[in-house]
Amino acid sequence: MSSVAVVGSGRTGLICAAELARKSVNVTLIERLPQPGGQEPEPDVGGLVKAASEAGVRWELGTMAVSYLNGQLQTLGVEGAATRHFDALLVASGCRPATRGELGIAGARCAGVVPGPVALHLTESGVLLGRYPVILGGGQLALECTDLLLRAGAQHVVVVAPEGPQVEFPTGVEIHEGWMITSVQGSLGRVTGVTVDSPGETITCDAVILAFQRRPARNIEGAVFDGESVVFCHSTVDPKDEIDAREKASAAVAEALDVLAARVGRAPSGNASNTEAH
Amino acid sequence: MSKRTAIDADVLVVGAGVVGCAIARRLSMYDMRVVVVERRHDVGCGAASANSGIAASGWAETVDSIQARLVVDSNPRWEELADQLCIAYERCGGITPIRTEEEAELVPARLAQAEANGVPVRQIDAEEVYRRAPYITPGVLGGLLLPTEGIIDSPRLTIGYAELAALNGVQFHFCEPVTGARRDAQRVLEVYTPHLAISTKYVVNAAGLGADTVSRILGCEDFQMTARRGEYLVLDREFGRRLTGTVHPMPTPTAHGLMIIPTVHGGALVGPTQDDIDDKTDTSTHQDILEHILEEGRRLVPELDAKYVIKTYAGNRPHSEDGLYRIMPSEQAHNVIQTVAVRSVGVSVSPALGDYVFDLLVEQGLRAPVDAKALERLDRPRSLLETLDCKCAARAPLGQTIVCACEKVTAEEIHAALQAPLPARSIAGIARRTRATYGRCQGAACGAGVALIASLYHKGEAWEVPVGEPEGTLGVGEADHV
Repeated sequence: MSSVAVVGSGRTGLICAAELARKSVNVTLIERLPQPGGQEPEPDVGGLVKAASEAGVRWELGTMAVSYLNGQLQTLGVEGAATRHFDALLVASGCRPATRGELGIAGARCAGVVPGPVALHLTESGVLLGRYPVILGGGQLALECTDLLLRAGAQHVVVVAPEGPQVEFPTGVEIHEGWMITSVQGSLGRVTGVTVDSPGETITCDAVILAFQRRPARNIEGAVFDGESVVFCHSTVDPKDEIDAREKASAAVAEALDVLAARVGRAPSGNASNTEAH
Repeated sequence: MSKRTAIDADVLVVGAGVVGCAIARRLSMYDMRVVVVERRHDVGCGAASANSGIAASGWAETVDSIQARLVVDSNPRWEELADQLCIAYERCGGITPIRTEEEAELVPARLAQAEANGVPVRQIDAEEVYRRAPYITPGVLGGLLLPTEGIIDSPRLTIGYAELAALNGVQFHFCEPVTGARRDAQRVLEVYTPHLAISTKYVVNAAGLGADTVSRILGCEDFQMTARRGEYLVLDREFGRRLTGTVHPMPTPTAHGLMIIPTVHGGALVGPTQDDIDDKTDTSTHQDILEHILEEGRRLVPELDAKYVIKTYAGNRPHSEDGLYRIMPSEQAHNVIQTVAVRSVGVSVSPALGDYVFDLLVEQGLRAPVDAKALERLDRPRSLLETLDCKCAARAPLGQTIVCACEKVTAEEIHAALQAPLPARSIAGIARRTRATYGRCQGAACGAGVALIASLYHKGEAWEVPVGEPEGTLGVGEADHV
C-alpha cells in the first residue's frame, strides 16, 4: 500500500487526505497545531474532519514536518523527532504574502516594513504600526489589514494594488490600481516612503504592509519547491473560496496518484529510494 | 547634556565590530579593565554581519602585506576557535574555474602569489573541477583548488567574541559614539561619549567606517574612510544544498569579484558587488544591481535562478581612500593603536588580529598579568536546527515550541538570546543570534511572535521595541482598542 503524508489540515489538506484515503492510499495527516482545521478554520471544517477520519486518515497533531529528503520525512512533535518513509508528500500548509525578496522590492532595510499576517497579529496585540501606512495588495489580506489599521488609529491608508482591488475597500482609502512598490526609503530608523512604478513617484508613509499574492508556506527542507514526489496544494484565488479549494484539492490528489503510479512502475516492491533510512 | 559617568580603563576599544570584539576577547584573558564603546545599539551592526561569511585562505592577498600575514595566520585556527565560541564553521574549500584563455594566462602569477603567501593552491584539470563541483559552468579549461577556504556564521562570530569578553568582565557600552577626547602632547588621556568620560591608559581604534572620525577626534592620523558597498543575494537551501564549496572568479588586480558561497546553514550567498558610496549608513539594495548579480553568478553556476532568492542585503566594507591597512601604533599618540581599513578581511583576520594588537599594546608598555580565572570558551546549547541537522534527532529535546518554522528556531532559543551575557537589544539582534525570521518567509509566519517575545524584555511599551537601532521602533504608538 502506498503511503502519503499530507502536511496541513486546513480545508484543502483535509479534502486531499480524505480523497487519497478513499483511493486506498495510506494517509497520514500532519498538523502543527494540536487540533485539526488549520490556523483559521473554515466553517465546513467539522464535516471535513469527520469525513477524513471515516476514510481512514491517520492523524498526527501537534507535529511539524521538518524535512523531506530522499523519501524520508522528518517530523518534530510532542514526542520528539521522528523520521519515516513516505512515497509522496502533499504540502497543504497554507499561504503567506510574497516577501520583499520575491517581489524584488529594493531599497533600505528599515523598521516598519511588515508582512500582512504580522501586521494583523501585532495590531491586535496593541501595536499601532503606522498612522499613514501603505498596504501592498488588493485582496482579502490587504482589506483585513486596512480595516484593522483604520480601527487601530491609522489616519490615512494608501492601497497599492498591482493587480487591482479584488475586494471592496472602505471609502476614503486611497487606491492605486496597477502600481507596484519598487523600493523602500528610510534610514537607520523607520521607513519614510516608498517608490512606486509606474509612475515612479514617491509615496510618503510611516509603514509598509506586504499583503500581495498568496504564496505557499515553503518551510519543509527538501520540499521547498514541487519535486518528483512533492505536490503542493493551495487555493490561489483571493479571497479564498470553497469551489476553488475543492478544484485545487482534486488536481493535487490526481497529481499525487500519478506520483504513486510512477513509483510503482519504477520499483514494484517499493522502497527503492529508502536506502539510507534508520 | 546630563553629567557624564566617569569610568577608568586600562584599554578602551572603540568599535564593537568583528575587529573590536576579537581584540576585546583577547584582552579579556588578562587581569585588567577593558571597556568597549560602540556607536550602534549592538555588536556587529556593520560589515561584521553583512559580509560574505567566508573565513578566507588569503591566497589572493597582496604578498608581504599585513592583511596577507593576518589572514594566513588566522586560517589554521578556525576549527578550534569555532569550537570555543560555539559557532558553525566549515572548511569547505573553494574552486576558481579557469574559463577563458585570458584567465589561464593569469594562473602562473596567481599560483606564485599563493605560494608566496604560504597558501596551498593546486591547479586542477576540467575533469577534476566537475568531479568536485558538477554545478560549475560547462566548458571550463580547468581550475584552481583552494582547499583552505572556509565558511562561517559571521554574525555569531562577532557575538561569540563579545559574549566571551563580557563573561570575562569586559564592559560594553552601546549607543555611545566617541564625541571628544582630552590629551597631552604624547598621549590620549580621556575619551568622551554622550554619557561617559573614560580615562584610559590605551585606546584601540577599531571603529571601521567611523575610524577616520575617531582618529581625528583623538588628534591622531588624518585619513578618509569610504564605504565600499557590496550587495548580495541570499539563496534557498534548495540551491545551497548542491554546493560543496565556494566558487571564486579569477581575481583581477582591482577586485576579488563576485563569488558563490555556501552558508554554514545550508543556503548560499552570491555577491558582493563593489560600489564606493558617500553615505556610510546607506545599506539599501538596488534592483538593477541585484539583476546584475544573478547574471554574473550564472556565469559561474548556471543553475542559479531568481526563484531561489530569499532576500537581498548590502554591507559597507570600510575602505581607506589611500588603500592602506593601518594596524599600528599611532604616530600622534603613543597609546593609541589604529586597526583601520580591514576592508573585506575583517572576519578572516580576526583570530590573529587579537594577538597582533595585544602584542602591539605590550610593546607600547601595557602591563597585562594573566587572569587565571578567564574563560576560554563559551557554553552554548546547540540550536534545534543544529540538533536536527547533526542526525542526533533521537535526542531532540521534548516540549519545545518552534516559533520560526523556516529556520526551526524555538521560543527557548529566543528567550536565551534576550538573556545572554550581551543580550539582544532589538529584533535584528534576536535574528542575528538565533536566525529567527531569516528563512524563506522572512518573518511572515513568526515576525509577530518574535516581536512579542522581545516586548516581554523591553522596559517600555510593545510598540517601542526597537527593530534595529532605537529610533527604528516596531510601531508608531499604541493601537486603539480593536
